[in-house]
Amino acid sequence: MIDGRVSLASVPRRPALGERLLLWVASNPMLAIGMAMLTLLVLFTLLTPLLVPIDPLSISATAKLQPPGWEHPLGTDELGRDQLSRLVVGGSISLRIAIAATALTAVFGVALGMVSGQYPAIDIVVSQISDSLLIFPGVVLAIMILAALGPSELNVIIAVFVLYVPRVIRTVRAAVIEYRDADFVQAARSLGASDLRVLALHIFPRAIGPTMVQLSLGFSSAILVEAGLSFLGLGAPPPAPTWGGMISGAREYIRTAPWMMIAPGAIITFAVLSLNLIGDGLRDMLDPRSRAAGQ
Amino acid sequence: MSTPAPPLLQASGLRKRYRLRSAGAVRQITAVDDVSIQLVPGQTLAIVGESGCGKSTLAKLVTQLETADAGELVFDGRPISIRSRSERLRFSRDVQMVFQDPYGSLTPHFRVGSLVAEPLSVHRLASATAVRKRVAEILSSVGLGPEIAGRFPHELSGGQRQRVSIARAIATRPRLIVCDEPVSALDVSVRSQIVNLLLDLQRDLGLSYLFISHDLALVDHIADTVCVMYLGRIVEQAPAAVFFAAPRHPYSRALMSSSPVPDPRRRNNAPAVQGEVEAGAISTGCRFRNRCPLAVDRCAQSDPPLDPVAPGHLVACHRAEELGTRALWTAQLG
Repeated sequence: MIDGRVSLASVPRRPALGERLLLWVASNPMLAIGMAMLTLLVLFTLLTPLLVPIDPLSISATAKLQPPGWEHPLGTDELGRDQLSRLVVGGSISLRIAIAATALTAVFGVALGMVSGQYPAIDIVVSQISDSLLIFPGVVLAIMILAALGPSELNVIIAVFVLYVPRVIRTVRAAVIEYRDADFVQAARSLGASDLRVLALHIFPRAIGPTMVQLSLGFSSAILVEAGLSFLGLGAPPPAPTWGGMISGAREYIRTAPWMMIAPGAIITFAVLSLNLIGDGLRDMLDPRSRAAGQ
Repeated sequence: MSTPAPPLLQASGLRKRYRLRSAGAVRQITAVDDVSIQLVPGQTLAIVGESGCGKSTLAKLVTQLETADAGELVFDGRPISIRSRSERLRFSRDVQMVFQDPYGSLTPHFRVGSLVAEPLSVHRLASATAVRKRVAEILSSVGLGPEIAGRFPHELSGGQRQRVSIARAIATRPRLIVCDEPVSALDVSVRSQIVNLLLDLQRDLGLSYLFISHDLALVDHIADTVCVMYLGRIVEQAPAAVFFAAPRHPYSRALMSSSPVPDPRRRNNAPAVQGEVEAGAISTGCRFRNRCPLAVDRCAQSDPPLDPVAPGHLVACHRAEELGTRALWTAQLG
């Protein structure tokens, strides 16, 4: 809003962009590697349809269970479908579900966390519900939800949301409780700021760091949960290609066509690893103490 | 004297209790007990006392950060009751606060410009385009240059931070500023600058101060009226000149004797007070009696009321009349 005009002579020279980037990568290696991996993954799901224009659903009786080769870089499955195309489309389904679930988690988690940190009467209800959701092991709860609602992409999003929103609520709530009696919050109140203004401008920015860490870890878990659910046949229904579904289908052919399982397994690992690196890197960047403690 | 102006702020019978849970037992602490104060427009009322005597709680009651359990606050002839957002806004526009800790009371992720603009936007006192200019004006009135606006609080010195706090407090052109130990966290070298700034602003803007402090030398410098608090009660209240010339309450004398006087010839001969403040230690009688060098049987039986000993001079001590004469003091001390 207001930026001071400082005479330029007093400002030290700003390092060049490349130099700053290198410095940043050197000081946050995990975050940098994680973000590079995630960028690769997103580019892969966005660009490969242009490079490999094979319909992931097209069945070919002549080309079934082919090992990786020129025509099918990652081979074909038992119905002769191109594995690479299926991986790409499955990836975009996975990412779509994870992004939607994480966005929902962010919006509701932050809103409910702020409200329950501020108002004890609401906190009793919100915390009871979110704590009781945390009791269940994650995948069991997701299976229960999908068993009740039926397998579909939307229901997977709902399941992942229900699984992860309590963590974000708790994180934001803890920050609000930590700061609601802080001097600067009292000062803001005394000058007449409303509850909403105090929460949004004075308190929430202090919670952005830990919330981002929770969300990035939630994102990677969303991919895992989605894969797990489709492995169990509870994800996006066939014939939609999903990573979990591909692994599930590959079980019978693990001796004769191991590439069918290796490719989706590897890409799930890659996706989850990149997001965990981002989450850990963010945590280290925001809280230098945890880095020191980890070494 | 001329006819007294109607008080800007009048508090009567304020009381605030806190429940403390310690080791399963619930204890009640009366932080502020039946406190009445009056503040004349343009003047400074100082509240002094040891830590834990309820000074800060009183400040929070006056700024409505806390709600009193009993008692009434009248500001500018209108009883204060904050029931709606618009009442809160109207009140906070007139009554602002400067906090003790200049490090904790400024939102760390706000730049100085945003900190000073915050009251302006909360109270819609300046359009988006005028804010910058207004902020620069306010900063200059507390002795800060406009380039400070782009800095974060952690980039400033303690004195600069407290100037920013004061700038934020005067942004709405309030009539009363509650200062909760505004200089006690600062280096001695910058204290006087901040105090003089407060005095200049009082003169230029016609401000009234409710000034919380434990520093008697400072209070002597700025206060028009002094109230001494002990364990939630006001034990002595007097015009500053009267108070510093002849304090009546034994506790006031003890406070004064414990504040250093830069004069080697003056003998420090007031009675020393032993022990520390203990909330809830005394349930009947005068709450100062366990530390009072002049306590008699009567002090254990009934709590002395805050009674006038002279016009404008109130003391809560059974022996206040005797203490008006020097004889008792010298007799006690040999």
